Amino acid sequence: MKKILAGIQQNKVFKFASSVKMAVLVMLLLGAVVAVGTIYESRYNAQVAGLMVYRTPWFLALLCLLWINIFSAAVSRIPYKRRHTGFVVTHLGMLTLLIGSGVTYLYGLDGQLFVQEGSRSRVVELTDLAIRTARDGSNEVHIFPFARSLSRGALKNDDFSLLTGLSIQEYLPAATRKGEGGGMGGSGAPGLKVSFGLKSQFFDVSETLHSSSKPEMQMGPARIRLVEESGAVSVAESQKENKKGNQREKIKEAVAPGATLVVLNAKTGKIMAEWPLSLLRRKSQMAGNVGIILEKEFAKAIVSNNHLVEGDNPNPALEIRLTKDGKEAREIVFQKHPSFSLSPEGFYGLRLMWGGKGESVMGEEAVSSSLSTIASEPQDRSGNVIEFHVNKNQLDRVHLQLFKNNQSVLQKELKKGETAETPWMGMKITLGDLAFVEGGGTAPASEGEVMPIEIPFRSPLPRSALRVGGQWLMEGESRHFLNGNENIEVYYGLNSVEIPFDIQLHKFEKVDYPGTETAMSFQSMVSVNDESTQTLIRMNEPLIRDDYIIYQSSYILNPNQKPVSIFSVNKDPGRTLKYIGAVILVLGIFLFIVMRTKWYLKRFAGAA
Amino acid sequence: MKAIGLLTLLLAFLLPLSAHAGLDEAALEKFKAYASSIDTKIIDPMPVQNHGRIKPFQTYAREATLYLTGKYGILGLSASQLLLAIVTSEAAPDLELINVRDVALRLPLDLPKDRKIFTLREIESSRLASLAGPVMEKQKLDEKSLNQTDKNIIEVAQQMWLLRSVIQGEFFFSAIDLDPKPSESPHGGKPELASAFAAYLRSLQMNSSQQAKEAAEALVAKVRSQDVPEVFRAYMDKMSTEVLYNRLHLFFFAGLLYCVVGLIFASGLMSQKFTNPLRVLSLVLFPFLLHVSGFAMRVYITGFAPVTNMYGTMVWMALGVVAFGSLLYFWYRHLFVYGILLLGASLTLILTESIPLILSPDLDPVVAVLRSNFWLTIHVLTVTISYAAFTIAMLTGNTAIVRTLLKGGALPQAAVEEMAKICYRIIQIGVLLLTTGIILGGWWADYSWGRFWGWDPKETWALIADLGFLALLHARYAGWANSFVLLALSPVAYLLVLMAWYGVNFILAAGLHSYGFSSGGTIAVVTFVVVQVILIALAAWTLRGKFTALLQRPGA
Repeated sequence: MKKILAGIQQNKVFKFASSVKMAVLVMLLLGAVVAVGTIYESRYNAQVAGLMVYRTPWFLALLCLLWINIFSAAVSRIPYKRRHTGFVVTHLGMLTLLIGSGVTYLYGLDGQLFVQEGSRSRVVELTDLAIRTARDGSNEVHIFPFARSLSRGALKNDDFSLLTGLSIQEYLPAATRKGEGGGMGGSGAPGLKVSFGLKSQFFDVSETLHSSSKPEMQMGPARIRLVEESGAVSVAESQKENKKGNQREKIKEAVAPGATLVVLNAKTGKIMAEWPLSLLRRKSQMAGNVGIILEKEFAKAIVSNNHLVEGDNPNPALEIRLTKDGKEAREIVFQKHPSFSLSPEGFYGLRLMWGGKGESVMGEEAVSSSLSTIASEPQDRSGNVIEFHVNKNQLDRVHLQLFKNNQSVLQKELKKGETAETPWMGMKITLGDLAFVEGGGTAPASEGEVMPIEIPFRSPLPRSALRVGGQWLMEGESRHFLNGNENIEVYYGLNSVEIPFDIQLHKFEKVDYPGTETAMSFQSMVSVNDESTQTLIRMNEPLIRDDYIIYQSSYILNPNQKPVSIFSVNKDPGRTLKYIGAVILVLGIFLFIVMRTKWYLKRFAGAA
Repeated sequence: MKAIGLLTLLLAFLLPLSAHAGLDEAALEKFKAYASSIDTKIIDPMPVQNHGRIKPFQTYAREATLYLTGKYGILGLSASQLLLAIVTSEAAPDLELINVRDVALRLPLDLPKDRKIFTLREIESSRLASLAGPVMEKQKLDEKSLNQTDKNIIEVAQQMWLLRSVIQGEFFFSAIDLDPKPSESPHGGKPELASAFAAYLRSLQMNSSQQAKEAAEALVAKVRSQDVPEVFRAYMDKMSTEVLYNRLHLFFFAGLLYCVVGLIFASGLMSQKFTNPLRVLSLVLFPFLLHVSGFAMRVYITGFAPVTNMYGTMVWMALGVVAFGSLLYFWYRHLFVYGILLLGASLTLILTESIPLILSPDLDPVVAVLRSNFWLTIHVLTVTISYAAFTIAMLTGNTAIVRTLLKGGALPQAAVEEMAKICYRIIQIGVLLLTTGIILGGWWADYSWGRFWGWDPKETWALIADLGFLALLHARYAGWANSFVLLALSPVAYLLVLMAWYGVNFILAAGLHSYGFSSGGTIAVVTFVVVQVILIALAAWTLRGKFTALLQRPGA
């Protein structure tokens, strides 16, 4: 053993690696490199600094070199003497600290969780990127994560190509869509032009339709179409419409008491049971061996972060918990969308439906049919269809019509800037500008072209872009692709992970110093899953759950909107090692100093 | 004596230039007589609310007067006297009160070029309105787009508004309401307060000290009888302490005494009398106690460690220099270096005290993230005290360089060794403290933000400074740096500390630590860096033989 050690210690490479001169060089080099990192951070942002310096493989290699240097320096002094105490302890602390950092780097989680007041989420956004794919009609989502980089180039992902038949062609670290969010002019042929925003958990984009050059497009789960209507809409007519709208709401409010929940066999479609909601409210019911529990009722349901919350427009819905043999499932039942289910196969062989007798459905149908007479010509309305009916004499609003398999599911007057919710994956439509373009250009308007841009100074990193199957996807966008007969949705954006529990935000509060607008603190009252205990998260008072720590990080406050609280979610398996290393390190330096003092040398070492 | 005589002569020349524009001599004398007759003893400790805390009226008045005039009092009046006289006197708009700090602005503003300080009337009739309008628009669009001139214009406009609000009484009414609700108009909420204040102002004008005293007492009682928001409650009992603190100027006097003692030590005068270390240390004890009590008072008044702005950090750093300096003296008995360190601490304190507009000494509360007292205290105190240790290393190093240069490179090796020992030891202590401080910062960041280390520029530069001094220690061990090189490189490594301490906020201006620092002071730092670099370059050139010779391991 001793021989081997002596052999190692005599080795020339080892001697160099363990030398103090090497240590000085590594320290100076490390200092210089991270100094460059801070310049990147100040010129661009922390993310760019990470991508250029701190998270690069060569920087990791430099840290490894430091580790090897410290380690071999420690080995080279074996066998230790008393005077080595400070040295050994210090360097042992440093080694432990670095290992702890490595564990954090490799296995740690650090991301952001956005939760709006009144809703819940478990999706933690990371800074790296991912492609997600889903087949039409399937709930299964495949995720292909990849590291963000700042260099342009080709990416390859065989698994992705194998699954989808699509290839990834090019990656742009910073890009913009030419004409994105731009003005209304210069788009070629005369006609109506409508711009609108679409937002779902998958994407958040601005799009434009043009009545002659681009009247239709596919976006996410739906086809979106612009229908130009002729003739003037008289004031009287629109007033009548308003009245109808009011009437419709009244009908719905009146209907709720008589509503029922219908349970069908998922395979045969046979009705197995029907209970009035009034009964379900008091007591859970059994359908065969499946327990049916009414969790929540919504009068104005909207989907937010994969969960139902109360919104602004009437949309009765039920949240149902199904239990079987200790297992649980969650199902949503909409009054307006009877075929909707969270699982196409149903849960435990059952399908649930809204059963309210008579008036509600009839009332709605009556209104729908009278409204749908406005629609001008027959159209193919199979699948999910969103139609903007625009009258060029009234360019401040559209008549929004939503169809699912030729059935009208929603009709709504939408004014500029207003937002409507669709029943599809919580997708929202916000109406932007409407204009009648007189023409002038010759080229037909097409989707904005994606162009690479420079990374701007002192601002957040711009969106990246990826060319998949010949089509550009900006970060945060999704597209439909056809692979044979299969419809595949591809989403490109931030990678995210789900933590094993929901964070439900009850209340967000920002407290200012009295008489100022300086935040003294901000805090969120949350609960985990559906637990009844509520916990306050605020600066320096995180919520600790399992291995995860949830910190209050920031917030979004917008007028007329419920506040959104931003948490930073952190899992750090290297934490303990880092702390142990840190304590040992500090202790070591302390010993180092003390054991070199005259006092110590006289008192202890002299005696030894 | 000569210097004072010269100064008087200079002032005598300056006087005719600064003739008062607005008021004639008699009216000004009348105003001064009236203002100095105001007894502010009762009103000074009255609690008022401003900038997110409760402070004594005296502090409030001092801060406003400083902002207006650049000083804590002018015309021989205290700030409280001045502002109370302004609000009750017709002469106010014609008093020279607004200090236009950017002298280059006088031309575009069309102001007389022979003065720096102007009357409200002059400012109002200047071109300020037409200049400030577009700048304000610009500010509304993008705060960052403003250049220095824009900011200076806005400052003059704000000085004007402040003076107007003092004259109109708004300044006082908005502050005596201790529980302002955003919905209420500044003095609409509490009419009884406003009337008590008005009664006090009337009593001042009546020139009866008895009436004024009664009215002041009634006003203070009224103000104190208000419901105070929970966060303010702790301040209420500390008003007279703060007034005392304002009056004592502890740091200034501590700095002055350090200077005297430091000069005695460093000059080597009476050195035979200072052979007993206890006698030496006892000389420093009194100014040190002044220094510590000033710091303690700041802690007591604010309830948090006052190292949240540059002023507090400088005071704390100076304290560290004296404390470590005394310790080093006790260990190594090097009176000369001790004297130099005391002079360094003295310079730091006096400089800090004399530029309140750049290093704001205010005690206003800090941003949300800093409210976690314990961790803030431990982390920041540790890091800044390590800077004190490195400052000592820098001062010792520079002393060695200058002494060697003065002696033409022939400083006895024994003297170099003595200083190198001090330097080496204090770098060790600095590294211990900075490493601890950085780790505590990581601990705090982990606790607050959920990450131990995030490559934030401030923490990264603290690490770089740490690495710099660590490299120096290792280089000494490796034989790359012997005594003189260690001393000569300490000021070089100290430049990294300056970068971490000051440069990150002002040069890089990025990251999470960009709060709590006032702008300005750049000239002082740049001057220091330039002088330092020149000195090192000079040393490197004239003593290059020494450097190269010393690169070989001595005695090996």
